[in-house]
Amino acid sequence: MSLVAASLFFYGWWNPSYVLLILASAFGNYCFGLVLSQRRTTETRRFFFIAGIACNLLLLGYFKYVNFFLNNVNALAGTSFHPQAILLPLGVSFFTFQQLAYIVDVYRGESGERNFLRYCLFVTFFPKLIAGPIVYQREFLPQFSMPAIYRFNSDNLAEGLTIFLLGLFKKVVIADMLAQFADPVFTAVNSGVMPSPSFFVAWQGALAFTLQIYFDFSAYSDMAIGVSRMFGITLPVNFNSPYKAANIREFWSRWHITLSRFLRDYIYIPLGGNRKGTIRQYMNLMITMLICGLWHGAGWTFVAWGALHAVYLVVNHGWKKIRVAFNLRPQGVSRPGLWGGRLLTFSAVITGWVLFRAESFPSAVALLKGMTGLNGAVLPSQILNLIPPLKVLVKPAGTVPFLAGGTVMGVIQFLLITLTCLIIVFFSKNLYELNLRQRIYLLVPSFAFVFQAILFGRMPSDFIYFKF
Amino acid sequence: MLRINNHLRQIAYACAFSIVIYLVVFSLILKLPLTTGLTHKYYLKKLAYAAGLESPKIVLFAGSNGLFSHRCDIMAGILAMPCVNASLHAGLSIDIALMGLRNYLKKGDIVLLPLEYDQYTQSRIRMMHNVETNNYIVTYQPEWLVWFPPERILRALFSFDVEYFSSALTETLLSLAGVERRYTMDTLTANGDMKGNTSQKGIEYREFISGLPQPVPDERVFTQQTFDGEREVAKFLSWAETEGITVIGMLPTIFDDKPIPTAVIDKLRKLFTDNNQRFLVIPGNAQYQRNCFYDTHYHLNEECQIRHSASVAHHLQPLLKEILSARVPT
Repeated sequence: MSLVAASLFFYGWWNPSYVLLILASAFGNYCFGLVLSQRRTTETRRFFFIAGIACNLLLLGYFKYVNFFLNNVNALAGTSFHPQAILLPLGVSFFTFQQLAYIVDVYRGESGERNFLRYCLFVTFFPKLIAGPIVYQREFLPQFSMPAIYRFNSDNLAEGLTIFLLGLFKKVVIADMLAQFADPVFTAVNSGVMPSPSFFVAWQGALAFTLQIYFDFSAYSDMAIGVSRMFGITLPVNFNSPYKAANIREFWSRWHITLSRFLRDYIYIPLGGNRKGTIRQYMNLMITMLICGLWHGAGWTFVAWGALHAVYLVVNHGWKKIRVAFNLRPQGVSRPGLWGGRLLTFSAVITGWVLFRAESFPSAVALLKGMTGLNGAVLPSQILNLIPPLKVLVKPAGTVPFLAGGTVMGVIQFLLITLTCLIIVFFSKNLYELNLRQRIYLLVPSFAFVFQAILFGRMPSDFIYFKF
Repeated sequence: MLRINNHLRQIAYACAFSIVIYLVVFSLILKLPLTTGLTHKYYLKKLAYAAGLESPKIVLFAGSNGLFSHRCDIMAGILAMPCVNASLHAGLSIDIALMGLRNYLKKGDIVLLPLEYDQYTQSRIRMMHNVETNNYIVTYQPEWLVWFPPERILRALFSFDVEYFSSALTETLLSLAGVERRYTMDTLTANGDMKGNTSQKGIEYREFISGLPQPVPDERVFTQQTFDGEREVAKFLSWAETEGITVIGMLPTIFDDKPIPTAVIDKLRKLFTDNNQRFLVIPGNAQYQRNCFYDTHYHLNEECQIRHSASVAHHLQPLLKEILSARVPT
């Protein structure tokens, strides 16, 4: 009861009126679950199943996609429907998907939750409410049947606290710092202040955002897991060093793991998965990833991002088939092969993030053009004086706007920060590969920066995934 | 139970140890030798030069506008008075910058104050949170911490973030490798002015300069409220009056795209005259074409810097004569 109250208070802190919305959503799905659990005719169950799914999709559709829909209708049909003034409820995509999974599971035969309070906790449990992980009832609700979680356990507190504090470090210290290199570039391109970003500026924006979203989402996942652990609740791991992936399929098995498995279990496999031939499999991949893109945001750039990843996945599956057909499969992967795969995957992911972060296609194209060098390359003349051969390809300038604060020192600092982050991303173990003692050691170099950032630093920015 | 409690205790120790290491490393070990360190060297050099001058002397002070757009060596020649350019840069908060200025001054001195417009509009919060100032004081002027209230002392001690850490490492390595910035001790005249920023050298900044907005304050905002920065200036003016120091406010050098609103100038003049000090506006309101600027706004190239300084000195002459003749000899 107290956890439900705390979770609703936490949610209501942002916008009290949406507490009713989440409660109504929870209550509705709880009722659908009860009805579906009871023995009824197949037709009745089917009716309530479809009604349950439709209600959830309508809720999500209204709050998240109605303006996107109206804008597109206006653009296509020349109509003039006015966009609605809708404030997107925090975490609406997360709690709706979670409940969609619940309805499907109960329809498939899993038992529905009879205790509304427990069901409410499943939906509103505050550490995972806003940005996941997306949990299934079968892995979450049974934990509340264990008497041990209702007793204070300092072991859990210590485990959870270290994971939470190190997650906080990733957010307020690393991700927010990287945002200062990414945001000005994307803002300048989106607003038209910098219509043609040059090579190094475009790469700064793309790389900084690639690392920012990594640390930001990793941080949220850690903090959610850490806080839950303090209460004795175990949440599934949602983030597993995704940039270490040697191919795009592996990337999606490491990035936002609980969303990937939702899409696999409730969209890709029901569509037929790989069971109905190659062409159909590729179609299923495309549909699944388009939904994934649309889930992240109501905009065509998100859809394009999903489509791009679908293409990556199709290419990956196709390549796998070619290797098998021509017996090209080596016994194990060589180290150069592994690193080649990692770098190729990383490059593909960076390209995708540009689409994801840019607010329009022209902005994304401008940045991608910049990254390929089509807009030329400019560096501060002081750097070119230090490395004269670069002068052949790079134009000198006294100050390069948006390039790491426009100063030489800023450029060197950005390189140092990026290099350090890349070393962490590619070479270090993640928090779940470390034991408690090792995590405590990590607090020594990190805690003071967290303390500084929270109490004396600039205002921390929102988590990127809060928008979804 | 004992083992479990040990983990929590270890976490507490790790956190406490982290804070101690942070304070030691940032207060005593890591510094920014090429940026803040250079500012400090400038400060010491200028202070030493000022200490050797007879009073009454002219002390010119602003942010980087004072440093780049004014030449004390030119003004000293025209006015036949010793002159030190005590300007550092605008990144320092106005309260601390003016505190530091007091160390240059003796009774009878004349302070020229062409402060940048944004110096007047600083808020108390912005001064309190000014990371650059806080970093500078902890690493180079810890004795100045006594001027701070307890909250600001804490803010200063905890003003170092990971970016600072990376900058400090970068600057230390570059400094050890013998790399120098564009500005060094050699680009400063004996009087403390920046020199050598010729229009020829400034060509590579032309494109950047052409895209900069004009830093003129919004008339309505600027004139309808009193900012904390103004209050700090007023406090300094009042202190100067009690110490027998004359302060002459002036306008900073900016682009001439749009004229500075008269109401803005009137408000600044009133700030100085209300505190029994002076305000000098030269013809053209210190506004120049963009091609007169070197690498950013407030920074004239050397040719225009010299011309502007000569103009200021010529217009200052009668005012100085009036001020000096009005003083009762002691």
